[in-house]
Amino acid sequence: MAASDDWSTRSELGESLSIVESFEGFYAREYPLLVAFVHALTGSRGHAEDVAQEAMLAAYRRWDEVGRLEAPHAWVRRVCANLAVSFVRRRIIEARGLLRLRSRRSEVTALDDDDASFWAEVRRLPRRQAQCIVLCYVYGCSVGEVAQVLGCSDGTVKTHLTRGRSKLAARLGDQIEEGTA
Amino acid sequence: MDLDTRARRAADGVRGSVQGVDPMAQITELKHEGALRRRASRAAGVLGAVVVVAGAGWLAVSQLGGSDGATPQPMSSPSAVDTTPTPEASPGPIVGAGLRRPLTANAPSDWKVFSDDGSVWIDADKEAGGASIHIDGPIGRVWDPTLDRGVSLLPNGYLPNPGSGYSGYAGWLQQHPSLHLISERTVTVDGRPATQLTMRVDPNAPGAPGYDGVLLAEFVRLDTDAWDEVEQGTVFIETVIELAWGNAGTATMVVKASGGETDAERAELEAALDLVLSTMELPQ
Repeated sequence: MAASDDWSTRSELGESLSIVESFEGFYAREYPLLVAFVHALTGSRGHAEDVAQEAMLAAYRRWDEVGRLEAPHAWVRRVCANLAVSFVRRRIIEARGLLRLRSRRSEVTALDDDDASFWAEVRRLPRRQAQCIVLCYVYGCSVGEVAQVLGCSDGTVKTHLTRGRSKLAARLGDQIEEGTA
Repeated sequence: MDLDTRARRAADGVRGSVQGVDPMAQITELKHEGALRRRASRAAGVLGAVVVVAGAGWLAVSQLGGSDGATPQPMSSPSAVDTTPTPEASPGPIVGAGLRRPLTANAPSDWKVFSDDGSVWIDADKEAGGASIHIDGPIGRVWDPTLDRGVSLLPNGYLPNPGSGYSGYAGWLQQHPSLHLISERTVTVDGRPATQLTMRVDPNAPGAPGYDGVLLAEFVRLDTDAWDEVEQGTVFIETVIELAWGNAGTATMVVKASGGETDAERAELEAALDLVLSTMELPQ
């Protein structure tokens, strides 16, 4: 089942039956990929864990509200996208993260050089383009799903993806298959 | 190579890198921290008056829109602090809720405003460039790259080299080995002179330990240890404002504008900065 189908099904259930998923279930499903998402956006695994945790904490503190949203996963991904791009926000998270260093830190698997280089090039893109590309590839999001997370139109996402992929291809010396933008 | 192939491999790699993540272990920590922050929020509400005297977070910005010269509106009365960053900006007085020692200013109507318990950042949220304006303070320490540690900013300004002729935080920035001064001018903020520096960060500057970028200043906060960090190779505009502040004599706050990739984006950033500064009413 595609991710979008899964989301819409949950949404329908949530609205018609007033079922709110447990935060624990939501966390277990979403947290690891949130870390991957922010890791690709920021290049720092430790920072990614802190941002993902901060976003999840925001959701936890208002789960009565967030859990009833049509797409709580989109909400928390948007929080992550926002947290990851601002230096102010980053440094706040980093400061809080320092406190967490005393506690448990996940085992880190390093990216290989090719993968790390690719994401480094993505991070050189304008912020929105980078967000669109990371959501598209890390989550496998459709254009509509990316638009939902970032709160913009499908057309805007398509524009960002087209421009971002073109720049990436030029910088990496890659080709773009027609019709895949 | 085909871009999609490369991207999918990289996505597999970054997804594979989180296989060691144990959500169940992390969620215990999250719940513990959630409880701590709830307690901290309640405590901050009770101790609000003490916090003002101590000089912790002071800021609030109202997003009143446009450059039409609308009168800045004071924020609502201080209340319990919610340290959760807003996921997306909301216009109006919500922005400053929970912050102490009100400070008001106008922000461009199409920019977004975020805040937490001690700072405000105003974000263009545009396609490119990451243009944003951060209002923060008071500064407690500066990061001395020579000593490789934080050094207290004395009430009358930190003078790492009294013979340099510089003084205060603005002077310290000007003699920072990783920063290159592009221009300096004096601007007026709420009737007070403030030093505005446009600076470029040396692209080869070493990052501080544990950070990617160059650390400048640490802000006094109630519950966080927040450093101002600038990225190598970037240009930023720092407006340094000195305020009378309790027994300390003065406190330094900064308004930092950064980001923008194109000339148009930089011009928009500078216009937004001018609007913020020209409408800012400082805490008395």
